[in-house]
Amino acid sequence: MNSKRRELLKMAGFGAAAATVGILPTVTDLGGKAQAAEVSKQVIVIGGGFGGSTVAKYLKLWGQGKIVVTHVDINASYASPILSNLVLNGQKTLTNLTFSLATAATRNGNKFIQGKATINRSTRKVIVIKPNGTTVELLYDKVVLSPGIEFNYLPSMALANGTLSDTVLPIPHAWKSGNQVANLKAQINKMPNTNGTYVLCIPKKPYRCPPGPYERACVVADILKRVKGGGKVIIFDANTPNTLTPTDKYSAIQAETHTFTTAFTGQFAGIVEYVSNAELLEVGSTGGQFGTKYVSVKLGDGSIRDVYTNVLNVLPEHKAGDIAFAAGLIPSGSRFAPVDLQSYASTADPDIHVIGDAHSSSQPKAGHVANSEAKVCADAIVREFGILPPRFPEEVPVTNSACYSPITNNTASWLTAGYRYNPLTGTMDRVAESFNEAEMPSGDNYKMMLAWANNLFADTFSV
Amino acid sequence: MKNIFVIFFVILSAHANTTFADNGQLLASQCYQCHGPNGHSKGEIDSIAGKSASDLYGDLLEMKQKPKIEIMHLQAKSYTDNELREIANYLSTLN
Repeated sequence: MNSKRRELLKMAGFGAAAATVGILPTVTDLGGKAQAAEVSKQVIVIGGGFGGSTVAKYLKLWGQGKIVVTHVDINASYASPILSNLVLNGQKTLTNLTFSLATAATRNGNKFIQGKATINRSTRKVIVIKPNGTTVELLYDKVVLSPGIEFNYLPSMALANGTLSDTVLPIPHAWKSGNQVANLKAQINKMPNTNGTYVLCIPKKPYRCPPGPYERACVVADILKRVKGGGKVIIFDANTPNTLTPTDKYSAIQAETHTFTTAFTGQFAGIVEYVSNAELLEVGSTGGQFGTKYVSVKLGDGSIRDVYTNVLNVLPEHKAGDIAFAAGLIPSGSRFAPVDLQSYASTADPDIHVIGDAHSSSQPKAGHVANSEAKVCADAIVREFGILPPRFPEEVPVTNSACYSPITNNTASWLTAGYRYNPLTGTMDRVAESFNEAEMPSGDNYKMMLAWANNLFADTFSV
Repeated sequence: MKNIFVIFFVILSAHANTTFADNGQLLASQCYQCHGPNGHSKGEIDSIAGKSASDLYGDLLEMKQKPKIEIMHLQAKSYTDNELREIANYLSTLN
């Protein structure tokens, strides 16, 4: 970077950015008292997960006192899906992984409102219905939406679970942490010794946390091996093998292919059965939470396979959280919100930014990545408000993905990648040289996993 | 002429009252997921706040250049040398 050019552009850029949002007085308004610095911008952040909590914090931190951030979530706290597989084997509790959103807001100097939000784009208001039924209307300059995921359930899954609560329904996804994870843990605990069956159904990509389902299969296999003296884990994966290796079923594994193939065929051989190209057709249950469950899949050769099982854990097809659809940010036929990946501004409305699992890009849907995207979004908003000068074209967004996966109760693996914005295509492209997985699971990785999660939780939830 | 002077003064004032952050602030914040808020780690991962810029830059460049399969050696490969320098410079200013 030419530093002289940078300084000159900074000088010019400040005014240019400010002019675009109209927060600086015009140069003819010399006698007026209005100053850019004295005009607060209103940003409403909707969603208390990794994306929303991070963007709320960094908008305040980087906003130099010129942004009023109101954080809204339907719940008072957020239960982290990250590390939630360790709830299954008893190494973590849900309490360990649950963070108060109001406490974080207070620490960051933000306001938190619990309630169900809707966005009225024509009046530029967010309407929040609080748990006590009262309504709050908030005018906004910007909304940052980080609603996470919702699911497209098979009709038979919706029927089997009915209106039962997350704590007791028979076929959990347990993919948002919270009570469904407690339910899954209870079901696994109740499995018989030596010959119980756990079935995990993985949807086609994109879904939240690419290594997550395989990690869960390993943790459950480890429980069966250590605690139950044996049992079966059947993985029905809707994904298909890599086109370069069509006969290698394990090449359908969506992340850490080497790690999970080695685990399934090595230490968990005889417990884990991995089936790729398995299209979920139907599920059912009799006898409630701890009763018998049924799953039917169509395999790659066209045959149908039916399995009766103690535990049936179905991850349904993913889509963006409902509010992104209700706000008109998802094109017909799509399931995620297209955005400008320099700022995460929706392509449907430049004043609504969508980050995390609900947006559409090649970046993996995962909490660590949502934190990373949130910072790019906060920086872009601060610059659009004229609080900081605009980025130079060569200062492209760079995000990163890093995660650890437990394989047993004392070993873990990891996966990492970096992503850079490509100005020619408007995409976030994975940097090939930055992408790899751990050579093998280890005890050291297990310790580092806990250290990573603690820092990620601290950065995100201000704990 | 007087107006031009006043305009110039106002722009300068705006400049003086505004902290111009480098891209380093955003780039460095991408380290905090693993290394803790503002580079202060809670556990076994290294803290990176307030270290010497030249040491940090040297470490990052070395990791970028080595083919080792470690998270930081891979992560360093996502950035240009100039970006690594901006990250190092920014982290060195943190308390």
